[in-house]
Amino acid sequence: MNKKAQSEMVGFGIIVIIIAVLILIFLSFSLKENPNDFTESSKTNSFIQASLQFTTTCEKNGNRLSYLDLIQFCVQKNLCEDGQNSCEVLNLTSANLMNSAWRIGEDYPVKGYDYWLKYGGNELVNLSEGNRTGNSKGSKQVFSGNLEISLIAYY
Amino acid sequence: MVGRKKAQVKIQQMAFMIIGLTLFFVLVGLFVLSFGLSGLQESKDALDEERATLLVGKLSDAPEFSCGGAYGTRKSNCIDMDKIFILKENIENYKNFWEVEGITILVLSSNSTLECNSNNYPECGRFIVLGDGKSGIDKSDFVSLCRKEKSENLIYDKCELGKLIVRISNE
Repeated sequence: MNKKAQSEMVGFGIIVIIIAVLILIFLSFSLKENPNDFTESSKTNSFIQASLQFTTTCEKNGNRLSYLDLIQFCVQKNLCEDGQNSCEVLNLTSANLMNSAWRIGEDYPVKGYDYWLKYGGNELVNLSEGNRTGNSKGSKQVFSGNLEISLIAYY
Repeated sequence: MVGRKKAQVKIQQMAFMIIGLTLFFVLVGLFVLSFGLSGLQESKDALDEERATLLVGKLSDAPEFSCGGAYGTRKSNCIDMDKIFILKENIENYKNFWEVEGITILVLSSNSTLECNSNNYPECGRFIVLGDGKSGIDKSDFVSLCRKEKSENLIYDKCELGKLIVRISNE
């Protein structure tokens, strides 16, 4: 009789341990954050919108091109009036805009960012700075002509 | 004697079962609670950000700030810097108009940090349009800052990247 009760208790203990292990596995899966998943952010949205209107240093027929026009100019592999490669100006302008708008580091709320710009699947700009943390906010905007711009900020 | 022992074992079994079940439900409860609370914090942050965007959007689309049709097609979240310069000089008439404690515009793409005035405009870094030094909570969002620029004989539209910071009362 005593033996039977002992084996029942052992069985119960095993069941408790199995349930606990299953809960732990479930917890570790559900709490693991995927760095590619981000919360939609209106701040990154407005940054992308404002940067598209930015006046760049690249000139065409005496007119300075906006960032959006410079993207088209780069896709067509045109040179600016001063002889600069439009894609180089695009990359430099993007880096300057990101540096001025998104201060990153330990002392700032933003710890890092990923910014890329694709046209028809071809990557024209790809900028990454700082650390990729589990807490990210960002947005991806798709424009006519297969233009895609994505910005993810890591907090 | 044997019957008493059997009853004791049964009681022990039940006690273990109760302890196990209690631990299980406590764990599940903690898990659900932590999930629920983290969701609440995220929702609050998202609402805060949305509120800031709406507030900044409302201000930047006001006729006193917006680019309107002066820079080609109508642009959203676009501020006419020339208008701001004039508005700053007549801000006394607008003191309680927008029901905010302060309005500051930062020119992010400028290397200067100087406050804009008639001597240094447009080579400056920030406009304190309203309420310098008042306390409150700052809400900000990115905007486009456009102005008419003269280069030799040509006048063109120049748009820079900026940040509109609105200070609201924390009461």
